[in-house]
Amino acid sequence: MKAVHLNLLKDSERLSSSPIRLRVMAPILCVLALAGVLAWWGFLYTRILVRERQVGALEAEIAQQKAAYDKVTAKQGEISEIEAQIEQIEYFLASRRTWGETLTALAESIPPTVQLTSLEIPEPPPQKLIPPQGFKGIMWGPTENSESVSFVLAGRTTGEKPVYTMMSSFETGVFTNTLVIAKGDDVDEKNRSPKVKSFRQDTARAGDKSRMQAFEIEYRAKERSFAK
Amino acid sequence: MNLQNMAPNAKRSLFISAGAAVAACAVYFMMVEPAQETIKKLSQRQEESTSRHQQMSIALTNGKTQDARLAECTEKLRQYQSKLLEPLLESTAMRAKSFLDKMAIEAGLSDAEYNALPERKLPVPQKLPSQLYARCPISISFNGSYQAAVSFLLRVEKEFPFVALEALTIHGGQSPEKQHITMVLEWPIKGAVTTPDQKGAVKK
Repeated sequence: MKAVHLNLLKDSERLSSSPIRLRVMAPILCVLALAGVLAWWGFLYTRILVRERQVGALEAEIAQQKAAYDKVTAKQGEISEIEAQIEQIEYFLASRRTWGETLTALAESIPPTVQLTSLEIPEPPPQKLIPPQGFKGIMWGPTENSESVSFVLAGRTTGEKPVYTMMSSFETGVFTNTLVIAKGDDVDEKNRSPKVKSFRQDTARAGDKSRMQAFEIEYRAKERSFAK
Repeated sequence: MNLQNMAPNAKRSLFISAGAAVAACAVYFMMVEPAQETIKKLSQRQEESTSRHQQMSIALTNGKTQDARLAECTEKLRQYQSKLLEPLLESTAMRAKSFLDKMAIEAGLSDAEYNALPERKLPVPQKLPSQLYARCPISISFNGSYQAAVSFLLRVEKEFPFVALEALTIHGGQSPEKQHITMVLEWPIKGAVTTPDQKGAVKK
């Protein structure tokens, strides 16, 4: 005999044989997700409150100290202004070279057979005040921080030897504080010091009626450096 | 699956799930994300405030020694400024003459003539001050011996530590006692004044 199976359940009423049923688990998971998101927000909100309190306290302290800070800043500005002025004056002081001792020693170093006709520390070349290419603004100072100085001696002598004696004495003692001695094969012509610019027969005659020699020698002196 | 054919339990389950999911999404997008954004902004504000507070604290701590430093700098500048060449009757040459004439005579130099040469600029420091200084060359020509000129120069260098010899010319005359001497002595003087708006655009 054939058994008859009646199925009176609708499809949606049919229960799954699995112990985890979707219609139970789905709402639980969604509610848990909602709770999780709410908890997350709660955590973030607490952090916001804490941080707002911290920032508020910090900003209140800043506001409280502002007046004192402004005073300190203004004073600092004043100090920087004064320091900058001092610095510029000190550039001048750094460039100062004294010549008195050198010139005193010079008088003692000239051999009796040498007569100086002129002595010159020429004026420095004009300052370079043309702004470099692409420079915008006002040129308040020169583009170079140093100035070359030279020392030119001209005179008469009876021969070469007294001049060499004089030049040798310029390589020692107080002269080394002001004059630059740069000799030798490794020194190029431009930087050489001293330079004998001329050494020729003069129209004047010595006591023994012999023709005197006229000379002109140029020394490079220590440059004036306008820097601290 | 048709909603009308669903069992009431299943329908409830679906509505609860959908509602909770929508609410979770809404909470995330409308509350969590803005909260994160707020925290980010607050962190930034806190960082800025902390750094500013630190900067202020350091400045305030250093400020305690500022008065002494300011007094020291002001005094140093005052001393420097007292050694600058100030015009006399609007002439720097006149002022130089008032300082040096007596010394020149005492050294044995005569016929002194003073002339102010064009000013030369000084290099400017990194921080441009509002008051600049310049170099003021004064040309002095006189007659006398080499020894007199040197003794005059030695005295000037000793008594005027802010004076520099810029140029010198001695031409031998008829007698060693009467040579023509020209000295260019240089003083620092007050120069241009800069305005705050010019300061930003400037550098040597």
